[in-house]
Amino acid sequence: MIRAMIIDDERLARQEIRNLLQNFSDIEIVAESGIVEEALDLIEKENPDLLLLDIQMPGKTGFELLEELDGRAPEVIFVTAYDEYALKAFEVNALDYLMKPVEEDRLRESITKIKKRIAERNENAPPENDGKLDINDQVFLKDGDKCWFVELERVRLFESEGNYVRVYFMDQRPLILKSLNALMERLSDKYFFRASRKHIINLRWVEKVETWFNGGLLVILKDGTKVEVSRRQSVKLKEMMAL
Amino acid sequence: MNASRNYYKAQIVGWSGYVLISTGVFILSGKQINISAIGGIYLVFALGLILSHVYRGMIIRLGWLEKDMFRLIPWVLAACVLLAISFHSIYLTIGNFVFNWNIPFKWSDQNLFAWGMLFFIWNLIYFAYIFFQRYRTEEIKNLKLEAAKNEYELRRLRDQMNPHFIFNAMNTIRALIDEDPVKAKNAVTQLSNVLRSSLQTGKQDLIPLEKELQIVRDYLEIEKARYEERLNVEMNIDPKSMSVQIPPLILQTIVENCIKHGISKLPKGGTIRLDVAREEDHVDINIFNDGQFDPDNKSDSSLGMENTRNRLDLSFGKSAWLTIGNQDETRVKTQIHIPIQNTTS
Repeated sequence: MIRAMIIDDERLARQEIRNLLQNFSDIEIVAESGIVEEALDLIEKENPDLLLLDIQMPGKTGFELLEELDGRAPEVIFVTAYDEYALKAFEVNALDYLMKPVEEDRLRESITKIKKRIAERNENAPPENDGKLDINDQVFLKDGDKCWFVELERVRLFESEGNYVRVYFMDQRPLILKSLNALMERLSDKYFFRASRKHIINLRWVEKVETWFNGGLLVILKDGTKVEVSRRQSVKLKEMMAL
Repeated sequence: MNASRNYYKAQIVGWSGYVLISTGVFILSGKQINISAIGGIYLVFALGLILSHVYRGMIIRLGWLEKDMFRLIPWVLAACVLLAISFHSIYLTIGNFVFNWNIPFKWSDQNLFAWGMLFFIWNLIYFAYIFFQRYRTEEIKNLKLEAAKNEYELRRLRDQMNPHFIFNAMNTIRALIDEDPVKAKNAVTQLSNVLRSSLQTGKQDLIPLEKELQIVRDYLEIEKARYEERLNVEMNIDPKSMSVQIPPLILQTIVENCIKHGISKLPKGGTIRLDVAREEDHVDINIFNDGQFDPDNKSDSSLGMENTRNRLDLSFGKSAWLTIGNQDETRVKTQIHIPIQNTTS
């Protein structure tokens, strides 16, 4: 069963999606909302697997809502009538989107794709879950006009830049407004390691570890990036690696 | 501003160049350097600077810059002769007095010709710069005009069919078909009316206000079906104003902006109020909507507003106008003033 939530500021637009989803026996609508702030609370409470999300809403856009999510991002299908800017964002990053009025066949395609993704994720998910983000979880990132859903598995490095954090994955490196400390609190320390004041590394991406000045360590990631580990953190890393 | 700074720079550089070259030639020719000769060179520098500056003042005051360049040629040549003569006489007077040159003024003096050439070159540079500058601003103006024309055409086409509105309306109607079939039927009729009017009236220059108001009403009905209790509409229309001619879709464009930038941005929605009052020689149309107007927002709607102004301008010239601004902290007021043309009404 997929637990879905509908977010659209127009009641009739929500009703329309509800009608369409009636034909899908494996989808349960757990909540709906027309106000972004309320929707954020509901997502926290219900922890849905899937959002059907409008873009243009009063106060905040659907993108802004995703940016404010504090935790893993659910699967998202964007639903919009016509929005040139959003369409560009969708096409560049291959996000799922549907155009109003929604065609049932298109909806079915999207849902099939998403069911596959959710199944894959559940297969790989670790048995015990401490509520923190592990490498199978996806997060939503937005930098200016561009946005991405990224599985944390692909993120090799977080680097602090003032009040921002630069996220390195594939050939992208967007800048997001977050502190490294806040980020570390949400990331599972089984997979992510605070190398220094400036860096968090993904342990799965570590290729080599070399000794460095004054008892520090130098981590070389699979893509060749070198990250210095502070002296204090080096002790911790050695302990972890000794296992 | 920039051109004037360039002028001063060119003056200093040009006349300093003269000093440098003359000093160089003087030294290379092996003549003995004395105060009288060096003083002469600097005298040329100072006099050249002052005389050419006074001459430039005259060019501006006589409005030569606005005149056709080719007609100016004889005047410029005459000016060069006059400048050379006055330059030569002042140069000799000061030189004879300060440095005891004892050179009498003679028409055959070849220096006279040299000064003439100097001022001729000065004019050449000055007018070439002006000509080039004028050519460039003209070019930019033409390009801007061209772009504005294209933009207008494009917008005119797109205004007739606002895809965002149409698809949202379709979506609303789809949901209404199950919930309230009667309302759904009405919405289809209203949407047809709006689409038909925008196709037909796009070709007309002016339509009666009555017809425009019908489009606005149908349009607002559809948006009311969509926004439900979030959109509230009030209309106070003076019946005497119904026959007044206005450019088509002017009010519709404004009402659409009221929703796009006002009502749709407010979680609780708001009210659009449309007041039309007929005066002796004009109609006052006031549209209020909840929301705030941001004059710095350079979105496509501010272009739409500009476009609306252009259309009023094309139809009525300066006797029609449109203003938009914040009435108070929660409301925007759009005001349109349209003159009544002498028709039977």
